[in-house]
Amino acid sequence: MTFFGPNRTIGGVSKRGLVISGLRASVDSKEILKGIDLTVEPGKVHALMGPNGSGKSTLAFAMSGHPNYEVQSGSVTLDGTSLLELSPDKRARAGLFLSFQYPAAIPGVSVANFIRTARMAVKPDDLPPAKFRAMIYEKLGVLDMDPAFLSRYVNDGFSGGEKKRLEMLQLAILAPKYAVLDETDSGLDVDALQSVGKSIEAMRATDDGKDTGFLIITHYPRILRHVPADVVHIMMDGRIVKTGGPDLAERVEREGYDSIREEVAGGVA
Amino acid sequence: MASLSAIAPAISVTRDARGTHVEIPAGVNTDDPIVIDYDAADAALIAHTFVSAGEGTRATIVERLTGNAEREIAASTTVTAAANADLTYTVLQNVGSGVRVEAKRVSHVGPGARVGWNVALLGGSSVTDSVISDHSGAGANTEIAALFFPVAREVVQLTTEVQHNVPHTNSQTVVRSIAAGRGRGRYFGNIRIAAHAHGSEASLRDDTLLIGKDAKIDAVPALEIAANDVKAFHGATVGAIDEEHIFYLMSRGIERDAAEKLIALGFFEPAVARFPGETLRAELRTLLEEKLAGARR
Repeated sequence: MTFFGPNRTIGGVSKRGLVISGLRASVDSKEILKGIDLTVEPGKVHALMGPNGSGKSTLAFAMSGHPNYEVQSGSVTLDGTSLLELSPDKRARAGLFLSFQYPAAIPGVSVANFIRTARMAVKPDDLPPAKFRAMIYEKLGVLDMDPAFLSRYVNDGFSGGEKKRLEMLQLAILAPKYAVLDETDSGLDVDALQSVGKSIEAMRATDDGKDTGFLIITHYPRILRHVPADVVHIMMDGRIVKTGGPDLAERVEREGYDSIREEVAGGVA
Repeated sequence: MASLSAIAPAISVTRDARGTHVEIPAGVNTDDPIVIDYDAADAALIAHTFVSAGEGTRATIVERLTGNAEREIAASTTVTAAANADLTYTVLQNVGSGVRVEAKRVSHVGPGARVGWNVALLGGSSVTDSVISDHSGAGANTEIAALFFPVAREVVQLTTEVQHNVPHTNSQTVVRSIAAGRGRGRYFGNIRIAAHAHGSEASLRDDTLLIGKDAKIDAVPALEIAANDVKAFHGATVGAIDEEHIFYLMSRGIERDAAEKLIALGFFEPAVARFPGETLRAELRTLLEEKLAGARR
């Protein structure tokens, strides 16, 4: 029997899913990702955990096409569409969303203008202005965000919590097929984290959002108490070394990464 | 031929051989802008404007300068603000790419008076503009907000100067410029604080964005401070669009060209925000957007 690898069904190609296969990538000529295989199915939440420096953010940036990150080999497909040849905007229009750990401040560009432009880019035949405005206000409410946000400049003078809420607002409004959340919980206080979790779960409960696949990149398991993971992967030194269920996240919390490092040190390629 | 609309009945706007005269008698306040249109339609245009703002007055003047083909425009404005007057003078210059413009804007600011200049320079093959303000009494205040935007092969030179000649006066100068394509610009920003002008406060902020490798803007700030007990601030930046900002916008599905346009418009915003009136600001943003759309590479 021929083994096709983890991402295909025998007898046919399963096209749905965010499929990362054999991905190797480097930044500043230093190899960080040493062959990543991971598939996020529609509607499922995958958590990617790992110690600092394991390459988690590199994976996020390589998937979205950041110019500083060079892919050496491998593939990333989104519901069958190969992403790596596409420019970052085309990847977004194919249905990928990346929530940044450190979102850029764009002075002089209002949140309202930015969100409207982004929405029109990914969903061109869209809601009439009144409906769009109503949707924005609704999502602002779920995130406990003041409508005054809309006239502020993107991330300009925002606190950490405000920046992450704006990322979540974009997630809710752009309604992507697959969302990669890069350390969304870092730097958040209890209330902000609760808002973020509430917003993601609210989105997953909508028609637009119920099939969105999530790759939640996190160092700590905190966010997974708000958005429960279906699958947990542990990444170390540029490789996924262990995959399991939600109990794996709990184990990390109890025992830390060192115990996992020892377990896999026995030698897995 | 200039077309004039004077809103407040007490304000007089007249034309004679020397130019257009706006007289705002003492005590008159108006929120409605006085609009002066100069259009170099059929011939070279010489546009001189004289504004006399009496004591305790408040008014806003908007000068629109347009022209096409290869016209030449020579423009000047002289504003005299008497004690405690508050005069805002806005120049919206939007001329065709073959037009040559030389303009000189001067204000004399009396004690406790404020003159606010808002100058937007768009278009023109060669534009030379200067805004020079002097203070003749304590409490005088000059605010200058300017933006210029040479694209294609346009060349723009802007000079601003505030002369703090007497004690206890303030000024604030904010200039934003973008050069794109082969657009070239020069900005001379001058603050002069005389030896006896103690207690003055002056700030000069000059920021430039360059789009494309052939775009060029030289900025020469000069702060001459001869007095003690003054506050003078200067800040300047020159740079290209930050690629991290481009990536952030593109990762939301926005194409590179559109992302550059958003960022460039955002860059002008601190200067645009100082122009008086939301209608005027909206008009200016539209003009800037149109220019950006036509200006790629």
